Order: sequence, then C-alpha cells, then structure tokens
Amino acid sequence: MPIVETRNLTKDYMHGRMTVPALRGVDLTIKAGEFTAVVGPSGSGKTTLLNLIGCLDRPTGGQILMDGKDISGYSPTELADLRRHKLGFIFQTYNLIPVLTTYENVELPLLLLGVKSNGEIKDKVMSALAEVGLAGLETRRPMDLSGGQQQRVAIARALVKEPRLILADEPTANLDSENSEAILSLMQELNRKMDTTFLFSTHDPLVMKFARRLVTMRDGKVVEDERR
Amino acid sequence: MAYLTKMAWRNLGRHRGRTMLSLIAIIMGVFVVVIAKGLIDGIVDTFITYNINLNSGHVRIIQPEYKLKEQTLSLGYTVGDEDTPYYSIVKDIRNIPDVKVATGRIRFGMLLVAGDDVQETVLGIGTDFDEEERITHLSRFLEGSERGTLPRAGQREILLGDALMDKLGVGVGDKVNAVFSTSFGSLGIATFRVVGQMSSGLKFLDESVAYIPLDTAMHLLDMDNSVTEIVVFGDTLSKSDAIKARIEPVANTLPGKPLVVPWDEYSELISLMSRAKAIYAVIYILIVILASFVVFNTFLMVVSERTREIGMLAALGLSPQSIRRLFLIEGTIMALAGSFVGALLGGVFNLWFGSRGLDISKMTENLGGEFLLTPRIYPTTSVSTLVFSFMLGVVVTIVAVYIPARHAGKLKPTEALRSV
Repeated sequence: MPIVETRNLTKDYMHGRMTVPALRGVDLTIKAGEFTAVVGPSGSGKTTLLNLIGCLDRPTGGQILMDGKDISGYSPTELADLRRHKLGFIFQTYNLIPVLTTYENVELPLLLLGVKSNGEIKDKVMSALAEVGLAGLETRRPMDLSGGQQQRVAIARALVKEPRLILADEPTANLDSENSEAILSLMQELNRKMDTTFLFSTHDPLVMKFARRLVTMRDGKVVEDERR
Repeated sequence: MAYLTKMAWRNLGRHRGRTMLSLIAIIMGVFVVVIAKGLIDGIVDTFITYNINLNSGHVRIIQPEYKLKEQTLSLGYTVGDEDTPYYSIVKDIRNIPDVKVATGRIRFGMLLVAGDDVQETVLGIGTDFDEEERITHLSRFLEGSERGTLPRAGQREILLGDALMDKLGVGVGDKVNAVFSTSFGSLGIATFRVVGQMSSGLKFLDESVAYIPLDTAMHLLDMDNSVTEIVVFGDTLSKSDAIKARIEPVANTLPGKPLVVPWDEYSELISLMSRAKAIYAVIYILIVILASFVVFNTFLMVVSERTREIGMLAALGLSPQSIRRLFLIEGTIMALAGSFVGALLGGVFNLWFGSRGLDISKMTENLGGEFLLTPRIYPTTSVSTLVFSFMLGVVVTIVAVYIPARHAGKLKPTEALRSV
C-alpha cells in the first residue's frame, strides 16, 4: 500500500474576488522508501502539493489517501494529529525553535508524541544527532550553529520519531554547494539505511541529481514522472 | 504540558525589556488597586463602623413614627411603657442567641448654657455608659491626663466634646446648664458638671453631642420606662440579619409594634456607603484592564513576530489548542509574577501608610456632622484585599492574553510558515 496517494487533487486560492488554481487535478503515488523530488518552475504548484500531502492545508477538491485513509475532510486538530504521528518536515529556513537547545529541538517531536521514558527519549535523540553528525553539540542553541548544522538539526528532528514520510521544501536553498551536497548525501544515506521515505520540492539541480524519482510539475499539473 | 511550560518560560526571556514592561504594567495596576482599595475600605469601614457604634447598632428598635420624624428628636414615640418597661425589654433581647449587647438610648434636643451669653444647641444622648463601653468605647476619647472620666449612673454629670467645650468656654470640672423639653412638652432645666472631655476627631462627637447617663435622662425627661431607641449588637456584623429575624417576633409583641431596622437602612448615606465598595470594585477592574492593555499589545506583537515559529510548531503536530495554551502559559506566568509582586508591594505600602495615616482634615472640615470621618484616615491591609487584587491581576491579564493566544491557535500552518 502506498504511503500517500493523491487523486485528482485540486487547490484554489482566492486573490480578492479572483480564484487562482494552484493545483489542477494531481494524481501522485508515493511508496515507502522512495526518494522523490518534485520539480518545476515557480508557481507550478510544488509547495502547494507538499503542503497538502503534509497535512498543512486542505484541498479544494480530490482526495488524499494516507496509508489508504482519505484525509481530505479531516479537521485542523485531526490533521495536527497526523502530522505529529506520521510526518516529518525539513524547511529551507530550518525553522528551529530558538529558545530550545539542539537536544531539546530534536526531543520536541517525541514529547509531542507523548513518549514518557526519559531513557527512551535520550537514546533516540542521541542516536538521531549521531546520524546527522552533531554528537557533542546537544547543548548549543540554534543561533550558535552554522546554517549547515541547523539544517542537520532539522533533519534529526524530522527523523527522530521515525515518520512514515519526510517532506523537505527546498532544503538546500539556504546552503552553499558544499553543505548542500553534504546534507543531500546524508538524507540519501538515511533513505538507504533506514528506508525513510523522502519527498522534496526543489529548484536545485543538485537535489535533482540525488533524487531517484523526478516528478515535474507545470501550471498545477504533473507533466512528467521519471523514475531512475 | 511540561514542555509547553518550559518553552513558555524561556520565551519570556527572549525580549527581557518587553517582558519587564508588561510585568511593570501588571505590577503597577495591582499595586494601585491594593492602595486604592485599602484607602477606600479604610474610609468606608471607618464611616460604617462609627455609624454602627454611635447611631444604628447592628439593628435598632424604634417606633415607625420615630423613624419618619427622627430629625425632630421627638420624645413622643418611644419604646417601652409602664406595662412593658424598657428594662424588661432589653433583658428579653439580651437572652436572644448571638446578641452581644442590647441597650437603650434617648436622643433629645438640648440647649447648653455656660456663663451669661454662651449657649450652644446640641444633641443630647442619654446612655448606659457600662453598656456603651462594650460598643463605642467612649473612654478611648478621654485619653490624656486632664480629660476626666465618663459620667456615672444616676449623677448629673455630662460628657462633652473638646470643640464644644471650647465654644462654651468650659473645662473638666466646670458646670453647664441644660435647657430641654420633656416628653410631656414642658420645659426642663438642669445643671450638669462636666466630667469628661472627648477628643475623637469626629466633628459629630466633638462639636455637637452631649452624653449624660441614661437613668438621669429618663428622670429629667419624664421617661422612666422608655427610651427613644434600643440598639442591639451581635458578635459580628454578618449576623445582623439573623438577629433582626429573631428580634422581630419580640418587637411585634411590644406596644406600637416597633420596627427592627438593620444598620444599612439607617440613612441613605449609609446605604450608599455600604454599596460604595461594589461601585469601587468596578473602578479597580478598570484600572487593571488599563494596565492589561500593555500586556495585550505585547502579546499581539509577540504572536506577530513568532508567526513562522507557530507554523513550525503546527507542522510538528502541535494542535491549535496547544499553541493557544503555549501563549496562555506565558501570560499566566507573567500574570502570577506581576500580580504577586504588585500585591506584595501594595500590601507593604499600605502597612506603612496604615501606621501613619492620611491627613484628610482639609476635607472633613467642610463635611457635615453626619459624615463620621476622622481627620486622619488609616488605609486597611487585609488578606482579602491582597487576594482580591492578586486574583484580579491574574484573571484580567489572562483574559488580555487570551485574544492574541486564540489568534495564534487559529493561524493556518501554511500562512504562518510563509510569514517573514
């Protein structure tokens, strides 16, 4: 069973009295273990698609099936519950919580899931930080880390709860090429080693180089779906 | 919940200047309420306490006609007669549960004459000084070596206020002549020796009242078995309704079926003053609401600045309710700390202020005698005032924070994440 499946997915935005279609009937299936990049020009609907799959927004029409369940009509609280349990996010601006340390930022998703055992939390956090190469920086605050390090913390935070799917919106947009390559290599390694499913939206040719599946969008539609 | 509290606590340290500004606003608001409430309660309590002690008792037994014509100081509408003498009535009333003191007073008009030309019209009060000591403690106004004593029962002795004695030009030990009308309407004249000089600070007592023993008044006014009023006191003011209910059946059996009037129906002014605390409570709430505008604005700004962070928390799976709770916890910490410090500072200030008092003599000079206010007012510091002010600060601040917090909870994750 696919992790996510969209059927004739549409999303309209209102600009004043004008309706602007962002997605015009997208059919897409993401299976476990995939390393997929959604590419296309600005305004093609990449981020909108990721937001809908990521349960951050609700579609205007069509269906989103997550693990076979139609989530299109879920309430904001139910969507929050899904995000908490099944999804991880990596953003281009890292979006770490500035008042929390590296350790606490990574720990947060586990606390939100209601994990009570301190031992279990510590094991998982330290393991996630080790995976992204940040062991020893647990007590640092985001402001004391470089951009590359912050993005690694964001990856560890997305990874720590072992989600069904990690959504990465332009994850390399704020990184130099060296850091971008390192981050992508890391995610690729995690994908191979832990079978974590990744779905990117990107303009970055480097991401496209790493992706094993390229979904190209234009004007709110999938125009090409290439598996490598 | 623990992680939300931890985040909220640390968020307060993000912009210390702004947090301090909000805290100071809450502290100031609560501080002003404690001081204002202490002062107002001090004034109202003083006024009501003096009025109860000197005039109304917790309840007062009077004839219905007397209530209507009280200003005329008529001796025609009395409680008690030959068949049901005053002494037996108070004896019965004293046996009623929760009654602490029951005693009669006779109020009558009197002209005091000293020397050849000096005369003053005063309110004469015939009273049982032993019982009066348990209520008004008149002897405390005699403090000082040359102020004498209270009049003795059966004697033609009189107690006057210092201002009145100055006007009459008499001192303790001197004699004054009194001219009055008896209950039969005939003219009476008697000579009294001034045995005590009151210095209460109350215009009413010091300028216009002359106390004489009750039995002397009864004899001179031809009222051997009656008084114009019986004042009754319970253990506490809160029992006055219960006492009234117990006395009424007794009063209904007395000649003329006298009324049992509770303290807060003594006069319109008393009724107004007893309601004043409720009116001022609205003002206290307004003071804290004004202070809470600072907190409200701060939190609006905070939510606006942290919009992207709110989006991130939502993306992590924090529910709208939890996001709202995060801001409410921040507000609650601020409300608790600010209100506590404000109440504490206000309490300390009131304790200091209460020991020194506030001179309001300029104000009382121009007030009529019915305003039972001393020239120096002492703000009260009660636990109830501190708790009220603290709770008011906490509740109003949390309500002020609720609106921005609710807004934060309602933000759409996608829009929040897009914010710059």
